[in-house]
Amino acid sequence: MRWLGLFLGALLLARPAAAEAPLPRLGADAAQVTVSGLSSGAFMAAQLHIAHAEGIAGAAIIAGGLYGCAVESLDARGVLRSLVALATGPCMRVPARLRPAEAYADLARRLAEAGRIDPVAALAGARLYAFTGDADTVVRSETVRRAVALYRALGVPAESILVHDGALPGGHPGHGWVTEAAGGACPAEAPPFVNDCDFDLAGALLQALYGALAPKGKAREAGLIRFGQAEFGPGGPQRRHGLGEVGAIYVPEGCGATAPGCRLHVALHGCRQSLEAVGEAFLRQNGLNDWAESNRIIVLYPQAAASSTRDFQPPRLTDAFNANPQGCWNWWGYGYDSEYLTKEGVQVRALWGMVQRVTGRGN
Amino acid sequence: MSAFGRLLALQQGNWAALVAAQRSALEGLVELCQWPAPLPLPAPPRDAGSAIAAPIDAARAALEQGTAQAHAVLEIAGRRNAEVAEILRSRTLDALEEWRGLLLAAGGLGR
Repeated sequence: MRWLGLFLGALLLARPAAAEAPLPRLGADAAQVTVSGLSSGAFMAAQLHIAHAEGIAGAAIIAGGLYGCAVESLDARGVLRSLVALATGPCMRVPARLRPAEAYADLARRLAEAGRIDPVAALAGARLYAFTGDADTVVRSETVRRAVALYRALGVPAESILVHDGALPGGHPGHGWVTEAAGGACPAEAPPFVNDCDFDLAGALLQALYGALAPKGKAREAGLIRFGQAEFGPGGPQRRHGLGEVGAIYVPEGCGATAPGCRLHVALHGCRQSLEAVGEAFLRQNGLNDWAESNRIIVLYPQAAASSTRDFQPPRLTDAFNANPQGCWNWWGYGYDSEYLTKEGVQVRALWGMVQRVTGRGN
Repeated sequence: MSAFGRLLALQQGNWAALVAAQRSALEGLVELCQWPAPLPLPAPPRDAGSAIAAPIDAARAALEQGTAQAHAVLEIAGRRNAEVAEILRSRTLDALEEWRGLLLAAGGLGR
């Protein structure tokens, strides 16, 4: 009997993990797709928004989000070169070395003229929400201000932009997603990067992007489901491209497959904040699902994944510049993806593929 | 093409790869250096407190900015060096295979 138990135990261990269900096709309104993100998620939110300006109505950038911030050069042949050192230096801790907003706007215009991103004119109808805390020592406030200036330079009207910059009644926000009551201390800068500052960031950003909403409801435990992300990657190991195997989606009551008219909001976690890093802490504590439940907003939570040089086979000397050890979204061209800012970027393609699926378009 | 011609072509390829990497590195450095916000100078003191604090703050800012710039320059050099080394490694392996074929052919042993 003991041997039978051991045999069955070994059989269970040997069985591959059950594959996650595919992302459902939900018929969300394609004209009401918005995106938000924290830190690296903010940079990716801006990348997705600016690359697909015709398909995304607005973006919320929290503690990050300056498009093209890590770009070293875009040469005459159209080759983009980016640096980790620019990402970790000027874009995060040393904003005095940032370029003028017009330089980043010029980069976006050149990519748009080449057809690598949507025409920047499409941003004229966009909405933007930006947040930076005055105790954020990871991504300094000036980077967020420069991102707002970039959006202005690209034609987003001032009246379509809402910025929160500084302290809150609940304290001095550090580097994290701010909430009314969940998470750690307001100035904290540690996983899960959800900070209690007595401020409903989720409500503020969703109302900035969608206009006035019904009062927030109560998220249903069963509304948050997981899905397999592999089909949205380019094939091969997902991790090499910084993509997780499993994503999550919050589907409010009444937004199932046959219920059109729901909105879609894509929420992107920050570095060290993915499912594999902090479990469901970010997904369940950020407050978005409560607002989603009472306002027919589907919230999509795609997942990035950490990678190391061991994920590149065969090994190359340049692998050290292409790893993603903290599970960030790709905003400096890791994974040998020099197209990361454009519609052809591996992660931008994956995210757009998910948006297409949830809005009932694409495959 | 003769054996010598093939080897010459390989060497020319190595040279072209080196030149391309050098040019790329130089272009990167030039591009980067188009945006060197001047390192901060100490602000003139307005009072006794700022007379003490201003030079320290300026030195701190200069150190942070100089370090960020140095990291970027080092990364450009490091990336290009790694790319060149990778290209040369790959081409050297090709050249060794070429040599193997030539030597076996010269000895009448085929490949």
